[in-house]
Amino acid sequence: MKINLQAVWEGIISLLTGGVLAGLVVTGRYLSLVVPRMKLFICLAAVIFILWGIASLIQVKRPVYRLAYAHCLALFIPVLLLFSPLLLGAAYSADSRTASQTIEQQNIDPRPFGIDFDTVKGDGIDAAHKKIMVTTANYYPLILKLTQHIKDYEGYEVYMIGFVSYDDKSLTNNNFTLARYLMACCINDVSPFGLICNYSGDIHWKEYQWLAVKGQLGYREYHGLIQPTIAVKEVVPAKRVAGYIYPY
Amino acid sequence: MERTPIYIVTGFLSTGKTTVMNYLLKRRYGKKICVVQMEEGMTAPQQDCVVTLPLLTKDTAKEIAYRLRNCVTAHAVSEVWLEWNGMVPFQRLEELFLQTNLSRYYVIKKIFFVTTPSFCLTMLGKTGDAVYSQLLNADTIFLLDSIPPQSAAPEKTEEIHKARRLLKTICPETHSVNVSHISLDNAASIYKGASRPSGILFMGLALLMTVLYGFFAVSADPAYAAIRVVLTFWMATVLQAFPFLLLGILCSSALQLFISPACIERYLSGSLVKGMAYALAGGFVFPVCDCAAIPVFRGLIGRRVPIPAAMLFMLAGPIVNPVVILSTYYAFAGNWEVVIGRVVLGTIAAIGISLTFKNYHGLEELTASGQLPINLCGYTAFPAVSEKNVYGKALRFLIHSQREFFRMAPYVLLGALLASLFQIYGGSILQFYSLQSNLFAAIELMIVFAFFISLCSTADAVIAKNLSSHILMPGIMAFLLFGPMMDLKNFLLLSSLFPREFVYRLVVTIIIACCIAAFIFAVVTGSVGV
Repeated sequence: MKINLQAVWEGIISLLTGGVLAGLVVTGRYLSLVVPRMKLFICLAAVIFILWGIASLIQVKRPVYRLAYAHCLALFIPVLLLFSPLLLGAAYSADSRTASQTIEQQNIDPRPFGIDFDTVKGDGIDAAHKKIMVTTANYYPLILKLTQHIKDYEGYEVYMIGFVSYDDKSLTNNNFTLARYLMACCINDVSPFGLICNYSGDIHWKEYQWLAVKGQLGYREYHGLIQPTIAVKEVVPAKRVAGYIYPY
Repeated sequence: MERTPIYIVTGFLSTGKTTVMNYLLKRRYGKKICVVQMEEGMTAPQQDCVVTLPLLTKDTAKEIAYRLRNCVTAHAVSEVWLEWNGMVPFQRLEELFLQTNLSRYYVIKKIFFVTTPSFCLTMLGKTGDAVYSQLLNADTIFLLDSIPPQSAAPEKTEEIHKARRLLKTICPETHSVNVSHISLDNAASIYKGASRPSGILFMGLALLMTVLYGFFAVSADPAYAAIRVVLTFWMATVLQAFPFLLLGILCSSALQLFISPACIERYLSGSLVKGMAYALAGGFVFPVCDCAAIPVFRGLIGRRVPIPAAMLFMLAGPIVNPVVILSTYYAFAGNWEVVIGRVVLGTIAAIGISLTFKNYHGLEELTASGQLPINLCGYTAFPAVSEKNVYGKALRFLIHSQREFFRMAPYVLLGALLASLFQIYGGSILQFYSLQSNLFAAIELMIVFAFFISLCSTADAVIAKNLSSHILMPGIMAFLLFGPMMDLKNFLLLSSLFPREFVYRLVVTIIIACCIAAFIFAVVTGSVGV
């Protein structure tokens, strides 16, 4: 009995695509490419591709006259592209730039300034002690809040982990931005986002090196915009924090 | 046992199948040929061995298979020419010759489709899916522009050109020949068997891509860093665009399979205001892709729906539908300025464009020619499953949507790749030509880009978002408005279905409307630029 080879290829490639998409969601590696809110849509796409694969395989015993295979490349290319993050993990991402500058991790204190950043609850503002702890969980809303209400928090002690960024060309001397990569939509729009650090020390920190900073919150006016700043009191190397900051 | 070659001549009733077959068989010297007819027409076959078969139905299938076997075993013919019935779908032919034991006796050498210019232009959509499936599966199309062997220049050349354009649009890869141009002295290519893809090229390309991709992805060489970034951007754009493309395709397939064109037409007919209101509401409720909207538009014109109402459905539908709104919202990270701008300006532009055609009379001749199949832009051959039960309906829906996806995905992949390349290299190119802050250049550039990239409107927002770091937002808005209304594939499809003057007028009006809309967006959002 002859078989419909086109249906075989279409079935295999559709199932593969569905499988790769499902794999990206299950492993969470889709987060190195797109924002978390895409999860539902990717799951839906995975289900549709799997159903298409089954529908194709149902037709395998129906040979047809006109066979075509070139269109299967339209799915092979995405499979090839999307298999890479599954295989190579988060290393294949913009975030990997910061990994290359991470110094020996074993000598780094996992609790810089005695703070466990992973366990900080709430919005990170301790009004009673005039302390602000910027963590992965509160990163974007907290910086937004500080920008909008800087006068209320001026002078607070700020603790923050991030990597050194010199993207802001207005910064001089050894000043830098302590940043994390912010992903608004997908990896294509990833950019460093953080607080400007006014650092009077002698060290010119390497770009993308991870640091923990302790300092006092201030602000600067730049082209009419108010930007929160940190007057750095203490700097120590920090462990790299993997992943992006998702504002929405 | 060596299988007997069989040539199959398809086409609608009375379009000249026997005439063309007789002509083609004139120079078939030294062959013992048997002509098998499944329909009898005005012209009789001129061969000695002629077998007439009944119409293929469930009841006659066994008899037909037996008699076809008999042709080979009893008559010892070297070649069979079969005139297929114009009312029987091509899928029945495949079932007969490929899925029964007839496949042990016959090898299909070539499938011809015979048609006339007037049939193409006036009847093709009215005669059901059977003839359409035959057309799409043909290896060669014979356009009967004169009765062979007459070689004088045929009359009605304009009609012939139009018919050829339409055939080229529907089956771009199928070789079509005007019968008046056939030279039997040099007809070897006509009788030569059709070449069939073996899949080796596909596998070879897939392997090559895998090797190249693996090399660039794994290589740590800084020289290839830019390529790795392009690949990463490409995969992210694809991952984001595909789910919305799928949503749009599922909705579009459901509309094409489960809602009759007559239903849409009923609401759009009548007064202009009512028709336009329903057109707009219909565009929102039924998310059709832009190329599916064109055959619907052609059908509506054929049913005497006022041009502005029909055109509004075609132009606004791909912009205002929920899938496009959702994809725009997600792509632009909840930026309502862009979402509202796209929907409101798109609606206003579509209404404006449609109203400029209120007193246009250039389509009156089309109102007599009826409608084209709604699935003109992507006919799908379905397996022989019942349409009445849920399983059959679900399978048809899945196959239809999958075919639609395979047809559109290359455009989205290409668009995503170009956008990724543009993100890496576009900034410096724009800077070099001082275009980065030029509002006029941005709008014009993006209109041209939208035209050639031919993206599906459900996936274009993601591409647009990725371009927005290099292009002023009014340019991005022009891209988001113009692309769903007009692009290269739409232009070709429209050109084959409508008079050239109408198409050019429509293109120019859309360009002007989108430019004005983009400027309004620039003024309202304060992004007039430098």
